[in-house]
Formats: sequence, structure tokens, C-alpha cells
Amino acid sequence: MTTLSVIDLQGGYRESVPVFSEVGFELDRGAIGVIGRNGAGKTCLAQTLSGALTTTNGSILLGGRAVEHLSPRARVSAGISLVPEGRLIFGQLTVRENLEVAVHAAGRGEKRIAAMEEQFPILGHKRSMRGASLSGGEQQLLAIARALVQEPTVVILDEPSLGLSPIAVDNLTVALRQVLDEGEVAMVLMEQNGELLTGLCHSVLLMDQGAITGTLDMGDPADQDKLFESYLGV
Amino acid sequence: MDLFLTCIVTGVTFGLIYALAGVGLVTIFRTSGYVSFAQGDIAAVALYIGIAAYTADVPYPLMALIVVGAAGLIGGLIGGLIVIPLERHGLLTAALATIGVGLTIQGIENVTINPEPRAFPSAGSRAAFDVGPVTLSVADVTAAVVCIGLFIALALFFRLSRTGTAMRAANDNAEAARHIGLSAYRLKGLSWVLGGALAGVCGLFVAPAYSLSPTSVNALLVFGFATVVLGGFDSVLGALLSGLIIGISTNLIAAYVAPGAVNFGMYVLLLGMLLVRPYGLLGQRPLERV
Repeated sequence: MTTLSVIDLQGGYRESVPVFSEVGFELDRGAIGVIGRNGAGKTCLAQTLSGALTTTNGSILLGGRAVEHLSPRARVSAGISLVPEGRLIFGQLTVRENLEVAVHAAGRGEKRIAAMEEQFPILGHKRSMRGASLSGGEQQLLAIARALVQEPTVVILDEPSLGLSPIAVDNLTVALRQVLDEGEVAMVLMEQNGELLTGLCHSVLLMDQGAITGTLDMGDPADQDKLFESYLGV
Repeated sequence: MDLFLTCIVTGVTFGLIYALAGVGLVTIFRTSGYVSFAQGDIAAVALYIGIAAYTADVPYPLMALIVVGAAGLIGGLIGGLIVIPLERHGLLTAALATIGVGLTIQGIENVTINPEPRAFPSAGSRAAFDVGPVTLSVADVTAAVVCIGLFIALALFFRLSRTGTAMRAANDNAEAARHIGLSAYRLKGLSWVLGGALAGVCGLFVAPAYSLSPTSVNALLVFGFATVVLGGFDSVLGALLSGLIIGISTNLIAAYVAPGAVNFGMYVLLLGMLLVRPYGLLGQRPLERV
């Protein structure tokens, strides 16, 4: 059974004005990337997958089960978690409380919190500090950990590199690689950062003006070059 | 000396009730980010239901439970059906709606029931024990014990319980709360039920002193509001501390300056606090990255 199948999906901020349409892909394991310029529809697609925006057409199958009609809350329970654009951590709550509240919202046990603090030690060290006091890179790790403690089968990451320093992007790549290698979650990665995409994804969908215009195989060096040439102006 | 001690002891007993009125406001503020101005009116409706039950020979403890339950239910209905849905037009709209709801309730009360002040029963006027020169009644002691118990319970609830943490999260970042699967509506609704029930408890303690009319329990709101400004809008402990400060200082002003100077003194205290510490005694200054 495919982990995530997206079939002929259409969505937007208003029902009458679709932002993207006829989006389809299959994800079994590892990470699939979606690259596109600002305004291509990446965030809209991410939020339609997570349930924050309503699906206007098509379907989303999670382990064969249709989830496109479910609320964000029900999708979290079903196994789709979102790392939203701009991180959106709870700044006034402590690091630990950020993780606890996510666990409880998903109706899971707290055992994953300890595992996550081990995997991202900085979150353990800064457990009692308020989220807003973390650096941008640390906040991004917290946002990712907050999604992972919900024990999802699929994590949607919306531009996790946004606003991070090059070193923080390197650290992020290492952290996400580690999570992928454990093999428990699959990822959909909306990005504009070529380094992150080549480092993590097996294939990358090209998105332009709300449509998928092509697929690049990251195992193929020629396709990798094409990614950098066509989207990053290198 | 006796006068001074009397001021302190009665100041503490009143201060605890003010503090509880403040905590009712804090509870709603913590999930929604605005203050409910309908608290006094929610309490008034519940107290009218209570007085009807009492005249029908329902014993006091059961009547008190009916008042608290009714206030919680009314609070939940007002929050869930009117105020929370209006939040989509902005928090200011929602806060103003609470004033509208309060005035509407007063209007309905004025035309449907006799608005003349009525005596409201207390938990017991028998002397319980003496503290220095002051004799505390059973009602005074009940109020103090119930207030302190509720404070401890609420502080623990917000700090340690899952729902309490989720309520703070929903207030901190509503969009993020939705993304991780929290139901903001449910959490806010719950805070309105809690806030309403707390207004009911306060009403039970102040109505015997102020008697019951459609507007008499609104004094609750003035002191409750003063309490949260002084203590910090999001702090339960701050409300306790500032409730006591207001209770004691207003009693001292009434005794040593003039009874008419009480409100003046209280507002001076508030303005001074806003100038020196705008987030209140124990309010958290929001952390932000710039």
C-alpha cells in the first residue's frame, strides 16, 4: 500500500479561485520535493494536504484511506503532520510545553518527547526556555520535533530553510537526513533551497503557476544540474 | 489600632473575592486575548435563578451549586454562540460584543422581572471566630476558604494540566494551534464555561452585601478589572496578590481618608501601575524576536 497518494488534487484559498490543480504524485518512503518560485502554490498545496485549506477536487489517500474531507485535527490523528511556513512555534510556551501540547493534540503518548530530545539535544538542553528565546535554526528544529512527536506517517514541511543562515540550513539537512534514515516517516518537502532538496529527496516535482510541470530524479546527475539551472539561476 | 486591624482583616476577605473576580477574567483572557465585560450580568442571571430556587425551599448549599452551574452554562452559551464566532471580525469586536451581551441581559431582566433590589441569602451570618477585633461570620470564612481553594486548583490547572497548556498555546498562536490539531473553539468555549462559573461563585459572595438587582453585581467587574490590570492579565497568582492589595488599600482609604475616596484611590493605584509596569505585577512581558 502506498503511504501517500495524491490524485488530481485541486485547492485554493477560495473555492471559486483554484490556486493549483491536477496535482498528483505517489510517495512510499523517503522524501519527495516540490520546488517552485514564490506564488507557485507550494504553501497552498502544503496546507491542502494538512487540511488547513479545503480540497476542492481530487483526493488524498493516506495508506489507502481517503483523508481529503478530514479536519486538520483528524488528519493529525490519522498520521499527517505539518511543519508550517515560518515555523509558527508557541513563543510564550517552553520548549517542552511546545512538544507536550502537540502530543496531546494528536492523542499520542509522551514517550516520543524523550526520544526527540535525544535526537535533537539542543531541545533537551533548552527544555525550560520559552520558544521565542530560541534562535531561528533552533526554532525550526522545534517545529520539526513538534510535528514528529505526533508520530505521523507523513510530514509536510513548508519551506523549512526560509530565513535560516547557511550553517543552520546545513544542520537542518543533517537532522532531516537522520530522521529519514530511521525510515519511520515519509516527507513532502516544499522548498526553494536546492541543497536541501538534493540532500534529502529521491525526486523533485517542478511546480509553476499551480501546475506540476515536470519531475526530476535526484539519483540522476543530469537532473540535479537541471534543478540548479532552471530554478536557482546557478 | 483596632481600626487598622479591622481594615486589614476585612480587606483580606474582600480582596480574596476581588481576586476571584479577576481570575474569571484571566481565564477568558488566557485563551481568547480579550476581557469579558459580561461577567457581572452572567452572575446576575444565575443569582436570579438561585433566588427563585431558594424561595422554593431549596437548601442553601444546593442553591449555591445551581447558581454556579447555571453561570457556567450561561457563560458557555454566550461565549460559544455569540462571542467566539464574532472573533473572526477581530478581538475588539468580540470584546465589545461582551458589553452588548451584558446590556442586553440587563434590558431583558428589567422588563421581565421586578428590578427592585432584593435581599440575597448568605452562607451563614453566625459568628465563626474572632481575628483580633474582628468577628468573622460563617459566610466570610466560607468565602475565604472557597477562594483560596479555587486559586490553588486553577493555578495547578493552567500550569500542569494538558488542557491548561493547550489553552495557553491557543492564545499564543491560534494558527499554529490549528495546524497541530488543537480545537481552539473547544478550548475557548471551555474557558467561557469556567469564567462564567467563577462569576457565579463571586456573585454568591457579593450579592448578600450588595443585594441583588440587574446591575448590583456589576461592581464585581470593576474590582475584577482593577485586579487584572494591577496583577497582570495572564497571571492567576498576580490576580491573588493584587486582589489582596486592592482589598486592603481600599479599606484603609475608606477608614483613614474618606469613604468617597475609595474609587479615586483605586484608579490612582492602577494608573501608577500602568506607568511603571504596564504588564502588571506578575504579568509576563511577551517575548518577541526582532
